[in-house]
Amino acid sequence: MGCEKKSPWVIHYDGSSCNGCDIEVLATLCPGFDAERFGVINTGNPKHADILLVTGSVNEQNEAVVRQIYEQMLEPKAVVACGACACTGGVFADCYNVKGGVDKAIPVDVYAPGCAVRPETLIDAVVAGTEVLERKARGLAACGKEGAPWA
Amino acid sequence: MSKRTVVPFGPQHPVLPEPLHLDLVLEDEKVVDAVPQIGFVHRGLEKLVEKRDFKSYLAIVERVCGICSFGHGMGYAQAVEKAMGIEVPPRAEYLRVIWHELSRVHSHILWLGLAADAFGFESLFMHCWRLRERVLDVFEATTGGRVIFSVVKVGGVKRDLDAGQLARMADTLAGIEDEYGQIARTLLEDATVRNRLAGVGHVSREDAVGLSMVGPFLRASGEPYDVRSFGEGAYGALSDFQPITSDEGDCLGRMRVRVAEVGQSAAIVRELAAKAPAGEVAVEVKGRPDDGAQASVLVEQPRGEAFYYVRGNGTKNLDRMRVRTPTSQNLAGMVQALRGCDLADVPTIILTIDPCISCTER
Amino acid sequence: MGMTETYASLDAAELPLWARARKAKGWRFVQMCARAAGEGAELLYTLRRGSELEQRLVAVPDPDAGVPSVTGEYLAAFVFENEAHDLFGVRIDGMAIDFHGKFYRLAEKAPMATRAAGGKGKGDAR
Repeated sequence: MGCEKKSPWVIHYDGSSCNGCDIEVLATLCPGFDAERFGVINTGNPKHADILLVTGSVNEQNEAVVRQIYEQMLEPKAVVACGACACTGGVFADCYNVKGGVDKAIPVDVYAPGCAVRPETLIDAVVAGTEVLERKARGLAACGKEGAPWA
Repeated sequence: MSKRTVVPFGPQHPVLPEPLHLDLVLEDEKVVDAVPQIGFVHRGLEKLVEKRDFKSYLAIVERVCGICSFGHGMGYAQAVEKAMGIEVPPRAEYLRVIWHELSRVHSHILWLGLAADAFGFESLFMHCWRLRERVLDVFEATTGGRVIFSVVKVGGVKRDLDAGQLARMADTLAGIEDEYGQIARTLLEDATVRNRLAGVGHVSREDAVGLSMVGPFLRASGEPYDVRSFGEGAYGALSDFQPITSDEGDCLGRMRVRVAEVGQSAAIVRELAAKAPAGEVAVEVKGRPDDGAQASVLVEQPRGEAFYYVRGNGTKNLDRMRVRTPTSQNLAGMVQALRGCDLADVPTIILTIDPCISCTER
Repeated sequence: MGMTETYASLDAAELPLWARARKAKGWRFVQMCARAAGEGAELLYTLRRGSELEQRLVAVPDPDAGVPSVTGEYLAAFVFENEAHDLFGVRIDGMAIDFHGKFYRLAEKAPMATRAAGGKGKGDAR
């Protein structure tokens, strides 16, 4: 097992969330569920992050912002769509200012449903995210690409 | 000679849980003006009345904001009930207020943690949110949801609470009082906290009223306006209700008001839980809002006065639903509070108005 | 105890004088919103004094005609006046803080100005 599965650092961005999922993301990192015991740390810097947690749906204004955060992250990286709105647009999918879920802007690796998404689901999703990271890291190493110094 | 520069703040910023953009006009390090810009979180949900009937639409209103979710559902339901002349059973009124006041407790503790984190007190943020989990446990045990409860409906509430649940609720609140008191004292009496908050972001009582501010933001400037004073619903059954105010008018005063409101809400829950009348918790809702039937309702959300207006057109879809949330009302006051402050104090001041951008933008 | 509300019509042209008169008598601003009505819109202004709400409905048959702002008396109204413009296409003149259509920065202009015909929506109650 590579080092990618240990201590994934996450960066959280709120697309157009009602805040429900955002506070559950924070609650997951707080003592009640304590994702920090798995080494998960919330960073504000995309270049330090392994996993991007996005809440809320994508619209005209935030599409570019989400993409920009994603592009600044280094490989291997994984994206978790947290909550129903991030997955598909949720109850607001047919609103005039909602384009859809996060996959309208960037590729999503893990879909974590719920309205609001529960901390247990988020922990599961982050763990699933680490599997994705491991797979991608092996893929990078196999190709001998940059970003895999252990290759 | 001082130079004017414009510094963009947001939409992404470590201290802001939500996207908000401000153009800060600075002279050296002092903020002379702040121009807000919103639109990142706008979904356009008021237009969804055209696609959801007036009963299912409640699920949309509940999701205007995940923090003040219960109050939104309650305000909408009350406005529809008023427009249709529906009388909700007394027990339902009591349960609504009990859940709403618990909602205020969770919201204020959540805010306290974020405010502490904003000026670097991360361990206190963790303690607050740890305590808050116990309130969320109560929500989950009584409604099935931690954040969005979906327990209000037009006509009443969807579930009842038995004596055991009400007693456990009161116990939970009593159980967190000690620790909460310690946290509150740490924040309000510590010298370093005072240095960060005292005198910062001051708004006078006159300005607060002139700028139509609401909620703890207003009450911290000495103006005792609180919608709960009007005694609508089960608030009318309280033996006494006095709005909590402070005459400091600064960030510390706002913190003091919210800290005290947690204790006030806990007392309200205990009082109403003890004297909730027996009976049904909902009435059946038949028919549709008449064409032209309109009604509005005010609710004291954790962030302040919220306004709900509905208008029917004789069909199962409402003609219009309007929610005016406290933060949108407080934007003018926020700009005033920012004037003359140091750039470094901007995040703290913004947080002390307890902004909820998803509420503002809908 | 309890709140009361009264609805009445008001001419757009009377708005500034009405706002000044009410403010002088201690009425506080609660909100303003728009609603699509016919070819134009209808604005609802809400003021409060004590536990009384005064609701005034202002017909705006032509959204481009221009409605006077009340921000001279109630600055907080700038949020709602800009919103009425951005979402409903109602022109409001003299806003103390005017974003010139860029408050919400939407892709679509005045998305709430027109109303779709009612129909069965997703998740309607049975």
